[in-house]
Amino acid sequence: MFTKLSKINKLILIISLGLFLIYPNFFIIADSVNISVTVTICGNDILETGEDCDTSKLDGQSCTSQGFDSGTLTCATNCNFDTSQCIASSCGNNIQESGESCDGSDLAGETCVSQGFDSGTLTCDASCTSFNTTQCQTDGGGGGGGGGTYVPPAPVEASVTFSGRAYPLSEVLILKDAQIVVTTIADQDANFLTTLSNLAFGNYTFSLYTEDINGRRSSPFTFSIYVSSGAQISIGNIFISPSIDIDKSQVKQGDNIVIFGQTTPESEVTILVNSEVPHFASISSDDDGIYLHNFNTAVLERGDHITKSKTHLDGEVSNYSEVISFVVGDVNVFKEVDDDGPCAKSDVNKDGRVNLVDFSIFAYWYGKASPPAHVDLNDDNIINLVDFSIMAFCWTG
Amino acid sequence: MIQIQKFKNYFKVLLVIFSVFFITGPVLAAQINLISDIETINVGQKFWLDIMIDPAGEDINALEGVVNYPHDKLSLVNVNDGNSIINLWIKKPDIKNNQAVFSGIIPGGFSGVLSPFYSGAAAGKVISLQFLVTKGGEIKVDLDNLQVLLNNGLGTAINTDVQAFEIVPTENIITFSSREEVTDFEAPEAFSFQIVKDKSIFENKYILIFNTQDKGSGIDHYEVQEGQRGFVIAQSPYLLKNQHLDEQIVVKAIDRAGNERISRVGPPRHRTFLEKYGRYCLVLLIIIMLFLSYFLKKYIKNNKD
Repeated sequence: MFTKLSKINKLILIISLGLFLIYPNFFIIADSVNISVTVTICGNDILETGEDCDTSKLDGQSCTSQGFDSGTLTCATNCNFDTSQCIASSCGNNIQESGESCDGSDLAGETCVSQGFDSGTLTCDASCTSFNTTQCQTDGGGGGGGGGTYVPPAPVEASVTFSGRAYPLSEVLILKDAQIVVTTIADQDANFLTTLSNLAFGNYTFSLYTEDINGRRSSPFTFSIYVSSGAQISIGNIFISPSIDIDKSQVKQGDNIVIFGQTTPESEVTILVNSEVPHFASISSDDDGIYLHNFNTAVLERGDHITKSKTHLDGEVSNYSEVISFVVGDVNVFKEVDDDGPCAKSDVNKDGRVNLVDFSIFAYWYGKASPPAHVDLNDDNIINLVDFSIMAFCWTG
Repeated sequence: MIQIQKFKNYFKVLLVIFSVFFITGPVLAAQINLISDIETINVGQKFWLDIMIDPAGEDINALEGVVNYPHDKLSLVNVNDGNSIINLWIKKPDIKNNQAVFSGIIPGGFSGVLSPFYSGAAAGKVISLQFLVTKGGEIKVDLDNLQVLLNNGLGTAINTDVQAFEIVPTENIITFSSREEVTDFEAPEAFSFQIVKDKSIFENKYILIFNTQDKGSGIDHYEVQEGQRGFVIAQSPYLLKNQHLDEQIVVKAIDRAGNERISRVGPPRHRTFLEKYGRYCLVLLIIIMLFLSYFLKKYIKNNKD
């Protein structure tokens, strides 16, 4: 029957089936999201990167390997070793020495009262690293009982540690649920590490970004994570994308356009310039993380183009940077500060940030007729969800 | 011959299906599920319904929709936006008006919830709604006017696939309880507020800007107190009554379990004596001048006489 079909129908059938078979690769119309981080948690009894120990997993260590003579090594709640039950040779000589809280009868002047009790006998524990308060008492009167109000247990607060790569000596801003909560400075090698404590359990959206030496912002590195009660979570391998800029908004076909920015030092930067065929260039950043590439536009057709970059270092890859647009035409036009772009407009009160104040101004005009032109980001004469989406994309906190 | 014609017809149908499928572009659809832990329910009982979203690999930053439910059979009695992926709400469901419209944004975007306990990203909660069953018969809760927008700087809408919730209340169930009521003992997160003015709103008068989160039961409402006036329920942005800013301002965030978090600032500025009492001084000065001129005239008149 197949042989009786016309040649055109056969051709269409073959093409359709061919497209169907290669469909997953052929019909990708949007970039997929790429979040690559290492999430570790202290307290799950699994020894992970950055932890000395975890619950019962001591990584083969003991009191003796930690420099003590005997005792029991345990793991603290922050996944560092707890040597309070390890015993040094000097422990037991009734002299409180360096590294000891007490030693036998030498309590270093401490009493039950100084330990917060009302009376009783304070003793020193066998490891000389802590006091034994079991014989201390608190005056409480007797009797009574029954009834009373329920006192909820004190919440166990969690913490999240962020580590990764930014730009040398750049300020890394960390947003929790859209508000800036902590900033830290990356070292000369662009590495940063900071911890956010006192978190209640629940879902959080964290966002990190930095600015290069010329004040250009990186794309935010955003992720949502569930923080369980009392957990100490480490988010590692955060690789903040490079900053990017160009010297011309329009370039004469055949002339060079300079694509530049900052990233981690001495790393490989891949620059993508789109065209009918995408063009890739690979260059290295210098000691300060600066990269610069002269891209010859002879290979590009006239019209609109975009460029973006990403960084590779030690097998890790950042996300792509912000996307920058330019035109290939007949004359060169040097790039100026864009005061009329959507992100510049999102900063309604012109304080250099897109944050809660701007959100509130948009919220005021939400759904109202005839909003001011400078609040209407997509020029459709109404403030709706699209305007909020554009503003959320430009959010700095 | 007839068989060949039949095959050609089938082939054309297949071709149309393929063409529609490919030409329109099979955009990945965000999956929105309306989920409840109940399997049975009776009239007079309540149940919680979670609206969950899995962006299916996309990076989204804004969503809104209307929860469509039979108002003659269900009544919206409670809302919980604690633990929501939405950071900033534009509109929240309104219990008083029995309207479940929601709209909000996630600055920076959302592409699923990470956890050390699983690989990949999981769906995130948008909001939880509690309904009271007021009448029997088939119940379907669905979403209308749903919009989910990409975090791409353009506000591009993506396709959505909604899994509605359906249940038929049954008879003769003596006891039933859906989900334990939320026991939230924690106050909303600490926050600060800003006093700003902008020509775009409220005629460039001073306004308060505030927002915080509550992971337990969600923020119920805010209250503002200026000086010795009482607390009033407020929304951000809030137009300050005292535009002189010379009184203490207190903003209170109250969660749905009644826990409170207070943020306050002393008088943001102190008026000078003249600023504060200038008009009274002016009135007093005019009165004194009038008296003086009266007595001066009288004095001159007496001297003439």
